[in-house]
Amino acid sequence: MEMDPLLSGLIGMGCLVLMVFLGVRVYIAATVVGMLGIVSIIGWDAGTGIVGTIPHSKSTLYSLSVLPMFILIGYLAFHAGITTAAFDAAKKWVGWLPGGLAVATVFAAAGFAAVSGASTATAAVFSRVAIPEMLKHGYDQRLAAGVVAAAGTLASLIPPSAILVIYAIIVEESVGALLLAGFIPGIVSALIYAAIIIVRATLNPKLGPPVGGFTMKEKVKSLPGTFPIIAVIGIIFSAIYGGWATPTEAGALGAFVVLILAFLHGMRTKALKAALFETAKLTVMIFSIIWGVLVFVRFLGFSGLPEAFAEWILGLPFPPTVIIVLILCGYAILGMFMDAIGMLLLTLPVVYPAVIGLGYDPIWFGIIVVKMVEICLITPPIGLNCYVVNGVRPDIPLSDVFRGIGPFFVADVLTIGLFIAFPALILWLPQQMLN
Amino acid sequence: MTTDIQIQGPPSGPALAIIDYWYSKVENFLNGFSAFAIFCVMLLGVTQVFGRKFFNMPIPGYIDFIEQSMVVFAFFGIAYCQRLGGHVRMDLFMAKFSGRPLYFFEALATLVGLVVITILIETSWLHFMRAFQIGDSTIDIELPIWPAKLIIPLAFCVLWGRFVLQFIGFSRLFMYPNAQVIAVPVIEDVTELARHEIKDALGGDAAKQAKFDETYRKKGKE
Repeated sequence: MEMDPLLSGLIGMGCLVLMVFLGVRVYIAATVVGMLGIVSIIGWDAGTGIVGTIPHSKSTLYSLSVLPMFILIGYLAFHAGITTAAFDAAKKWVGWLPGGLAVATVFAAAGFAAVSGASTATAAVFSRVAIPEMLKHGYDQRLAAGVVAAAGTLASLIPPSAILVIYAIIVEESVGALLLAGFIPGIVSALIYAAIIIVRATLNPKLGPPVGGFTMKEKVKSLPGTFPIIAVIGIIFSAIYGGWATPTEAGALGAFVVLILAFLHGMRTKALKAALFETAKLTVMIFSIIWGVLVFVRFLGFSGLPEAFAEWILGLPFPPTVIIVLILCGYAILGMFMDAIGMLLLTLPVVYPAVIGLGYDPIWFGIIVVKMVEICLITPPIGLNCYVVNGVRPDIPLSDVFRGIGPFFVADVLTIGLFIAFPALILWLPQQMLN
Repeated sequence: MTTDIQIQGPPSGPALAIIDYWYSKVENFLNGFSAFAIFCVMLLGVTQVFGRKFFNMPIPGYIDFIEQSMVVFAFFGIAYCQRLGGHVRMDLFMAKFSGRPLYFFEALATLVGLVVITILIETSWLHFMRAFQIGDSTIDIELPIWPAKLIIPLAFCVLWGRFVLQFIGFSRLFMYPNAQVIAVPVIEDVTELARHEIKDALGGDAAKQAKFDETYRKKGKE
């Protein structure tokens, strides 16, 4: 069964792609190809023996235990009444701007993202909270729908973000550093969204009239409702920065705070049970794909394919910036067809060493890639966030939602360009806080 | 992404539906156990932080406990997730098929899963046996490691059973494409996916009320 390892690596990669296209679940496809690959290089007994140890050894790492905590925070967040309060506060503080309610939606969604990591869910909630208010004040329907679909994507950058934890585990970087690194890019994305709205509403005041006239007292009174957001951000940041708790402990504390608030807000045990069941389901999905892909990664390690791919990339006669832009375009295309987590896990083992070889920072690349896959949630042909908005508000045609997304898509491309030009936007905070 | 067909109450029809119904109960129970474990990890984390910060009394072996309990939420729900079609896959091409060709590829994909899990049951069992015979334990408070390693082949056995049911389900549909869909998940298109997300965020009523723009999708498909 002897075969050139590099050749078996290439064949394995091809088989994996084929199986995934034929609808085999990613965790199964990665395990099968990884197992056969290892067996082809080191033989049946030793090969299957190694594979048999991976599910246990790779899923009992303490750093992974943060995942269910972050997921639980997200599922409980809907029951804690945070969205309405956040939107209300944002409306009172920034409603006076041109397109004020749309700007308020962006900031409220950014705030909500700090307790929830799910893009689509954020879009669903704000379709109900923010769209009626905007339409009532005569806002353009496309703007109202577009901003809600786009603002949902802020969730995966602003901590706590499950996808950044997964990236950190796969590339063996610090979970804390990635979580911190997502914060400023999340805020920058929100600010760029807001700027685009303000410019458009200034040029064409009919798009979104300002909503003002709130007294200072009303403004201050709206603040306590945002306490859960501040609490969760405070706990996670101070824990990572101050080192007084591990990310898992901070996540547990955050989940506990949101749980108490949800009960105070009238959540029943039935809803808690449903949230825990969903958390368990998503957790097992993520763990399965992690160990499955790590079987495949072990095989790639034997084959030497990642090194060979990196060497090939480094030998290309293009400047690194061109190569990184090409890689990102590849992700944009893949993201149209595949779930973000599956896509990252399948591609990173091969792409990551090449990117590092080009001299890019691992943490920087993580943020860029996650921002990239988020864009896919709002672009055709799938654009799940847009469907979610359309589902909650059937009166707004899907074509209007997609047209409304246009300016925000441009904003996202600009944002990525900004991060490529100024990596310090991403790297400054983790360097400051963790050194 | 896919979802299963909701069955109300024990079905009285074909044997497959009855077995699927009761097997689902076992999977639900195991996933519930996993949910409970996650709840406990949360409480343990809170206790650990408060105990350490305010009473200078950290839980002895906290990390050992967490690491050993992780197999519960990493594996107990694996068959439940498989039944509901929750494991990541790419539906793009599969969604283009229907009838026999679709069921053929589905059955094939299930068979691949069945074979690989069969091998994994054996090898993860051997991994457990080694830990059991050597008497491996954790570093801090020396908890035995074998119970956690035993959970994996057991959870894989439950998953194996689910793969068998799905394989029978898809083979049956391959032979009789017009028969009632039993014991297999069906592919959701993007609107059903969106409906799911709405249900998670806003509850079942909002999901039922959700309507999608049909004209746009039909135009897009042509």
